[in-house]
Amino acid sequence: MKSLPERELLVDLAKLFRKYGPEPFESLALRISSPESSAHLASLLRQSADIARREGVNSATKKSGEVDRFLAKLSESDPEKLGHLQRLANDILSRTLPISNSELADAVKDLGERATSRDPRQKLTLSLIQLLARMPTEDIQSYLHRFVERFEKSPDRDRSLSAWADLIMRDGPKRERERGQERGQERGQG
Amino acid sequence: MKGGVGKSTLAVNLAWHFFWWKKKRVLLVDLDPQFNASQYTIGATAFQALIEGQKPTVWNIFEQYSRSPALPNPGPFDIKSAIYNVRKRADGARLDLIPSRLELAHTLRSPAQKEDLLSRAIRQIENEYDLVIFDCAPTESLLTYAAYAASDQIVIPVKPEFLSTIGLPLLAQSLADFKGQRGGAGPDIAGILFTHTEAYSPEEILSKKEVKAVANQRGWYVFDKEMPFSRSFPKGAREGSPIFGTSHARGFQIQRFAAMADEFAQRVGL
Repeated sequence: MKSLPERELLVDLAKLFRKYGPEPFESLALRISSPESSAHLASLLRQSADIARREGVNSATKKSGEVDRFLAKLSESDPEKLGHLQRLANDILSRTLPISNSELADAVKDLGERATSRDPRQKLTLSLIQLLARMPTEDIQSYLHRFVERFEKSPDRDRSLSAWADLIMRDGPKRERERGQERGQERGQG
Repeated sequence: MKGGVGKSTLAVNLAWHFFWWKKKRVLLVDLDPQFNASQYTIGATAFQALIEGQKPTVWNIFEQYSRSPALPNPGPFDIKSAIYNVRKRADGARLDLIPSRLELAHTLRSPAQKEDLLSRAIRQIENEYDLVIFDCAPTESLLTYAAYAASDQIVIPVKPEFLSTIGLPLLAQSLADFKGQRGGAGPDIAGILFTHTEAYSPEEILSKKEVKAVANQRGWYVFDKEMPFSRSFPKGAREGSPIFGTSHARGFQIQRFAAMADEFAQRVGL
């Protein structure tokens, strides 16, 4: 182990060893010790490195910078719209909002601009918020409601208001007015 | 049924709105032992003077028949002695407050036979007001039932967040229990009002959707207008001003509150 990269890799591996513990290392070592696995892994890593070089971190930062620049301009021209669009952009870019690139491209196309699922997420996000910024504030609000309802996962039944409402309201999901009618009938009978 | 949803802020701002803009005679009744509505409305100096001057508060309404060494001969209580005038106008409009105090919490330790005392007291003066607003405490207690007994309609403020929304069925069940005990008599739900709303928040959108679904299932009205989050509300509380009088409050926030208040007026028949 004479070369510097090997020593650096060893240091990095030691850090990861401390993080993950010995078992995952042993099982991974067994898997990649076979010639086929080893070749396959090396090929995957090379492809990933090529993609990262072509479009990777620098490009992402640049596009994210474009989103930030657009939002900065919007903060001067229309601060009310900024409130809507800044958090939307953050949620899409941080993947807090579980929307795929393909769905994002569809959303951009629905608003009348060309887009494909192969476009970088940052570019699609920029297109979407630029298109939305052209709308009146009320239209942005209603669009975002539909957008979130479409892409946000519905809560589990166990974690839903309706489950708690049924549990807390002891007569189950019965309408107030139905209860009123029943009471009226009871009084009528009495 | 949930703290931090903006009940006191809503109550005080509605009271000011109808007094100032609609020229109504408004009585605000602080039913929370934390007395936030009183703090907001009259400030520390006036409140201290009121306590030091032994001016009655809402506590006296509930304890008017409680015998103690300090009050060996308790008896009927004149509610007018507990009314504090905040502001009045020449045209007859006025904003009055029945303040609360921390000792109201002690009332909760011996609640027997007290839940109708408030409604009886309010009945003495209801013709002198166009609107009486009760600012309730966040937990179900004698005070909640007293507010139900004294009210015609209730507004349920809901902050659109998961745990906050569960306060809605809790309150609705509490009201159903109250009405059940009284053969169906009691206030109606005027509506569910979203508070602390923001421009965009997925959790908020989902919570609203869930609340609307439950409300639709049970026939409850959901206000179209909302009370959006604004830094001017806490600032206004510090300044002792409603949002329309708060320094540097944005015009669109003031207009949104006014639009919501108009819908409130329509719902309660004001």
